[in-house]
Amino acid sequence: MHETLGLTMPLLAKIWLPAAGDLRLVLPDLLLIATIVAILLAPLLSRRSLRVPGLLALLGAVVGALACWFVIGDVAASGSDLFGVAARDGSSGPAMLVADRVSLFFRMFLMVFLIVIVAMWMMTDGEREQNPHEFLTLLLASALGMSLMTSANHLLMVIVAIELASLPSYGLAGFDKFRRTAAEASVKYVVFGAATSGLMIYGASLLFGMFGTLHVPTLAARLATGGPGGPLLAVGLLAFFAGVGFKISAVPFHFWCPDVFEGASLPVATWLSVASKAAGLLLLLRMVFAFAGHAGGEYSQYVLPTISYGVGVFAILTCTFANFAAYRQTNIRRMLAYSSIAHAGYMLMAGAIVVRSSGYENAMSAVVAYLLIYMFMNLGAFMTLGLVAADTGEESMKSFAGLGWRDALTAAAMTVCLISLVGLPPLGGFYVKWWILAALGGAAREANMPFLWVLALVLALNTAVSLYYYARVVWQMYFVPPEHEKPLRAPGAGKALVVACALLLILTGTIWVRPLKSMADRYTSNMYTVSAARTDAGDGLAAAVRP
Amino acid sequence: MANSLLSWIVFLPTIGMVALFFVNRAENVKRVALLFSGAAFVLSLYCFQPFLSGEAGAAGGRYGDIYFQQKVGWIETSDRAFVVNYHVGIDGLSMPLVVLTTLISLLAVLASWNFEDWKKKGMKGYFMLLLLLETGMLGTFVAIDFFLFYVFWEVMLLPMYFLIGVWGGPRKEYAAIKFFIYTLAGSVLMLVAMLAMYFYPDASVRTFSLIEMANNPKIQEVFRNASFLGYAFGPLMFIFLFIGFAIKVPSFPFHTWLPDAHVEAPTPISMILAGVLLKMGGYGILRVCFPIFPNAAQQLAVLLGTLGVISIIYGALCAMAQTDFKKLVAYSSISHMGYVTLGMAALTEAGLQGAMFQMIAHGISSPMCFFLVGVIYERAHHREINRFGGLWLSMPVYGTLATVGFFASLGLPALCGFIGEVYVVFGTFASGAAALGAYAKPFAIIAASGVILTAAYILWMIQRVYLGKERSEYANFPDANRREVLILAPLAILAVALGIFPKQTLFDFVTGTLNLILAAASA
Repeated sequence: MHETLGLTMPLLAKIWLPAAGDLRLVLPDLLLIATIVAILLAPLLSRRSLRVPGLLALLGAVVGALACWFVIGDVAASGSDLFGVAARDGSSGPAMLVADRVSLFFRMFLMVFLIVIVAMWMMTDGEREQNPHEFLTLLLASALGMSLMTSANHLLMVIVAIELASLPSYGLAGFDKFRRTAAEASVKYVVFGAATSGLMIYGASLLFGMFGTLHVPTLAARLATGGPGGPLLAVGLLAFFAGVGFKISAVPFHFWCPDVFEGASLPVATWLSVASKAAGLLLLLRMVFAFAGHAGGEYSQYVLPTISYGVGVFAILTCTFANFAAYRQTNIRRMLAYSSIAHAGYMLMAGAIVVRSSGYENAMSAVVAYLLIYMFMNLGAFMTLGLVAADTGEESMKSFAGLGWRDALTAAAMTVCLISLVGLPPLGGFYVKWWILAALGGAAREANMPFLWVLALVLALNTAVSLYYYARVVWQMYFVPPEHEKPLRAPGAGKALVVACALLLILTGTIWVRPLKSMADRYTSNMYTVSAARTDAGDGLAAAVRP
Repeated sequence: MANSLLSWIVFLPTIGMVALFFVNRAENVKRVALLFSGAAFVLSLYCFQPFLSGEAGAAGGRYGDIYFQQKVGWIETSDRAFVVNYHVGIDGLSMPLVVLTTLISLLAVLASWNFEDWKKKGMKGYFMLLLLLETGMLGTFVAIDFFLFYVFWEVMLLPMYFLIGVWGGPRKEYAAIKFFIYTLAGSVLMLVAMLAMYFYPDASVRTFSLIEMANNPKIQEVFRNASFLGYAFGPLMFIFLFIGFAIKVPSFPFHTWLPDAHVEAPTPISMILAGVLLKMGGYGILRVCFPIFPNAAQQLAVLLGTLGVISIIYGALCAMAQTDFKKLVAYSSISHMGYVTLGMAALTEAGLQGAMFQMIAHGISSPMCFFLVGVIYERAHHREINRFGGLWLSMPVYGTLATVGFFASLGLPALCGFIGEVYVVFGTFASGAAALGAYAKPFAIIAASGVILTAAYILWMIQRVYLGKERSEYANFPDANRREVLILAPLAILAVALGIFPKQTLFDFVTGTLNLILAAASA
């Protein structure tokens, strides 16, 4: 009894009286929760109007973004642990969450993207929506899950965060419950999601069984000092990776992606195409880098290269398969879905840089810049698709025919977005791809890992392959005569958004290259690093099980 | 001004492009395009200035003495692990090509003056893309930083894709996408090579400067001895780069995009394609491959020479078989550019000079030929060689200029084509003691007999199109109008001038730089 109390009291104290500094660093997440509560309570006061929840969500996201901006300066160098659970002996135990600049930067990115998505939703589906409160609640809850994913440092937290991001997404995908494709998308999403979650939990349990901890840095440290290895370890890691791979739709966990994108409403597809992948990637990179934080003997010789090869092979499969699959698509939504898989593959390559060097800050910086540019490219492409679909009533290749002659500005902006997706200069898409290449090349040299050169070659060749399907849309817009010459009927704000995206891509490709890079560098410097003090802490819950 | 001269030349067309956003009347669109391309041309003439004294690249100079240099930091990472400069400048190798580019672009704008007659829409877009294309081409020639070079190289792709695909002939879509994919496939290999060339040397000497890579002994040592994925670094990178450049040249077996692109492109774009774009391949080999990988250049000379010889003969034979006038000119380009590849492969003084001269000569004669084809296509609306005849009788001025143009392409002495081909053949012959060894004589003999094939297809074509009995359907064709003469005359004059005064018009400017490249490659 006394012992239980001894364990419980500090725990409760931690939960009820967290350090003010810790709370400050999760302010954006708290704001998200507050917004969700506000939206749920709103019908009590304002009936079921559309504007109120929409504006509340916008307000929450704006305030959240500002909060990130103010808090980001407070982050300690090399990050900090949040909410460490006290261990049995009273010392501070492993932390569930970490906070560093990358995690806060990602929250800011997410909030800005959330603003755009809510605006997009209000412009398109929102007006007809019967249940705006429920929709926005799900959207914000998935955002909360994603933001937790990027700072999770404990496998339990990882699983909770991924589920928190996934469950609302299933609902979002099938939100338009009267449409057959939406229901189909949702069911597929749930089935795949449940299967991979199961795998992930199984993998986590294997790892826990082997190492007696779920705390990622501790796990990595025990692995490095010669924990059990062999096939069981490989199965554990692979099964765990399945869960993350599902979020970033890495091949072969990608099957849900095209169907969900096709079935879901446009804002939801856009949201999932960027935010869900970004969160999954950052989570994966953080875990891989935790493993890279150790070195020595057999670990450096066998375990690290195996992780590097594993992630690299997944990346190669993902981008190559997706690019070839995109060839055959006649539905633009499906094509963009495969394109998003391919881009996830490119970014995943950065995960193969598991070497103890400046390599991984470079890699992280490249990925952060990539995500930022990728957001604009995809936003532009999806928004144009939405405008065209609203006008022509379909989303096939053919619906783009002659767009260049019907609406010159929108088509030109769409062209910029597509060419940036290919990755040609002088557009932002080229530079971010180049930085991934440069991170690969630099690390390949520094750590003498020829495999990274293979990745660089594959990435470069995939760029050439991807040109064809992006160019097919451009071809439709300019080379195929339109069915009629009437100008595109679309809301001005939508067109303005597309043009703004294109403009940003041009600017980041010419005069803002350096600012883009230095911003990415700034937010990825001083990443959360694993130190002895952070890994030695035992896992309170696991102490009894440890051999 | 002298510092930023090249930037002005390169970006004047871009400024023109932006200005066109705000111009709406058709006449004014053309005038603005003419104004900016004309201004770029006039400014580019100033590039001659340091070369006139004859000091440029003279003995004692070293590779990398560049003029009108401008260097500004552009991209760098916070730890300076990765630095890209906006670094431009010209030497004897790039100066003639810069002037050629501005000239051909100006003439192409003039050649587009009758845009309304093409019955196509989007004139504003057309001229905007044309100007953007000019920026891309000029930037490629003046870039000293490899990264910058690559950016400009890729900037050209998209305008060209649209210019062929939107305003081209019946099979334009196919031609446009083929051009796009071929060129991009080549350039991604270049991208990987660029990456490796940057990261292989030690962090302290890493650079993107093409000059520095060639001159720095530390970097050179790494390039000589390193290996990439198990292959020798130098030759492998040379091949990666060469494939990218050979697609542009185009050299057999990477040439198949060219006939499609040339035939489907509108006339002014064909002029630019043949006159300037093809030269980028040759320029790239001379600027990037040879000075930086001299050993690989020696080792792979026979391979390059073989490709050059095959291009010469294969292109000429294909040209002979064509009944489409424009296709004939297109295949003749492959044949003529084969001399460029062969001349470079020879790695002798005469060979390199011949290759350079041939590039410029072809840059003058082929746009002229394409324009000549365009002139009758506009009148006859077909290009079947066998359906023409006796055109000289109804169009005397045009006929005369056409003869100059096609004879220049044929390589008649006293016209520009002759000098380049002769130098290449001599240079190849002399290469017996240099890179080509035992292959030198056979290559020289085959290349020389290529001239006969060239004469055959051009004379046969002239006979069928311009000579013979006057045909009634062409009897009332109007002769070349003032605009057409204005475009053809400068090219004709240049063709004659280069043929008669090769030293004063070109060799004086380029020899110094070429000898320095050669000295590095033979060391």
